[in-house]
Amino acid sequence: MIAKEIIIKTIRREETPRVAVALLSGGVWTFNRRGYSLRDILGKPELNAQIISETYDEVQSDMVWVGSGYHNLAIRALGGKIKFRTKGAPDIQEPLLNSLAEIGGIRLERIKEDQDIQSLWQAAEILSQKIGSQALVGSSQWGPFTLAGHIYGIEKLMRSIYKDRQAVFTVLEVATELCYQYLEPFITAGVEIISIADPSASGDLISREQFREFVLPYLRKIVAKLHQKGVFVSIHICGNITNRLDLIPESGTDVLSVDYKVDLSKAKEILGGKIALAGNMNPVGIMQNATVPEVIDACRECIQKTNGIPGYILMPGCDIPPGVPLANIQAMIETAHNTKLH
Amino acid sequence: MSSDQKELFVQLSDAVVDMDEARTVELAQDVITKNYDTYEAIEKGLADGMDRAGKLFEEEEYFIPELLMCSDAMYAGLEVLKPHLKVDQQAEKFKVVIGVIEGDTHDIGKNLVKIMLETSGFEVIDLGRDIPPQAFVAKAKEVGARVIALSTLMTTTMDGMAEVIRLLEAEKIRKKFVVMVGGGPISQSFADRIGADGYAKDAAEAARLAQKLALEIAV
Repeated sequence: MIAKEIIIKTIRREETPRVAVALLSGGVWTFNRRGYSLRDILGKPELNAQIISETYDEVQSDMVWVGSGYHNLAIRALGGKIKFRTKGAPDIQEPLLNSLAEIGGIRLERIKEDQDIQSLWQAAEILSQKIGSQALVGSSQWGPFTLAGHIYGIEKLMRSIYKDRQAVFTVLEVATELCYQYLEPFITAGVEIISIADPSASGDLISREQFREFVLPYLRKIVAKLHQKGVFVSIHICGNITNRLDLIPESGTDVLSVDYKVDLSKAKEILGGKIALAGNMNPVGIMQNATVPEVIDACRECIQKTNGIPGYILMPGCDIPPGVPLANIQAMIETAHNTKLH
Repeated sequence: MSSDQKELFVQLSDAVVDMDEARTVELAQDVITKNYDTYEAIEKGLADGMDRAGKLFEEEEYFIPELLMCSDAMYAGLEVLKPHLKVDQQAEKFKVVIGVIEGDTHDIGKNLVKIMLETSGFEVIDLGRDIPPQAFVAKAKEVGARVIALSTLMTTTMDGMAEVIRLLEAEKIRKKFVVMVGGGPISQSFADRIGADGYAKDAAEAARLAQKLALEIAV
């Protein structure tokens, strides 16, 4: 069975001959290890797709991500300031808005006019044609709550939960639409799964009740819109989200990818049979710093903890840093390939 | 201390925990009107409230929105009380130089640690975010800091923390400072590996650890 079939069956929680395995995002790692910064690749869709495709040949991840690391281009397109780094992804320098009154001035159509974002969509098209029959090609963007923080300022957003709830909802509406406007052309270009990363919705930052009120409805909305376009959806939230795992299926997502702070056995207990689950080797402690035998042990432990349910994808707990050795990624992939299921 | 005074300090502490900025200001003004000791009002009222908020955060009763609201109340109360502190009560405090390491602009964690450090009696010099390692060293030397506190959320910028320690060692001043590290991808084992003096998993713990380490260090 080819990789793409295995991953699709896994997402559908059907039985597969081996454990599915993939990187989460990996854009920074992919380009930095080849000596390119993310800025170097901007506006070069052929080079972008070629490097990702060559990395796929070396790594053989069941899912391949395009546009990973570039999420903040969407904020720049709307007038925000971002800073490119030699290593790592460009980060946002200040919130897009100084005050809520400015929100009416956000012109979401500027996303479609941004040439650098267009070049990512082109890369998605080239890559989908190149390897889309073998692997599941996907793209990603921040989730509504995280985007709302980028638009309004994360601390201001959090204070507004108490001081001005309506403002939070107003920003979240725009953030959700922004998320969709950025992602929709990737789907047109041929990607078949979308990953929504919502790190600001973590249990390390906000409460379960706040998650239920300010995160979940907007995740539900974006997932539904993406599903209408016929793609799979995966949600990733960093940090410890144990106390809200049971709420995640309400978003309608196909997959939840959990960080290393979540106990996979617990996640399996709560989510098994409801949605597919991915995770969760420590990106630094294991993927970057451990030896190959240690990586294999950590992967086996993850597989063992989720044993018995169809719908598990072996995956690092978060995006991986640029210093992760190729051998450790290959060890992860091989461990999954060597774990026969049915 | 009169029972009325004691009661007022408890109410101040409660107002901070309850995230009630207006009430905190009102109570702080009462302290001034009644001519109660402002230093004690800060310590037993405002700082106590923030300390309780920090504990609630550790117990996962409070999260970042609540901590921010509590700190707004605390700082508003502080604005009222500070001008009335007697000069001899403004004793010299241990100084902390804090910032987010170069390459990273996520500063919510750093801001929380700053709040908790100030609550615990440190004078905090906040360099901000995206700060080159050399700038930490230069500022710590300049102000005679006892603690250097480094934050990052990004895996790509963790190395900058090690660089701060390398620079201190190169200048043979490593032992003059307590170096503390924290942030999403940071762990005790990372702190040990780069030779940092301390790691804390959250802001409340960081402030306690800073107090402990700042007293232990032989200057």
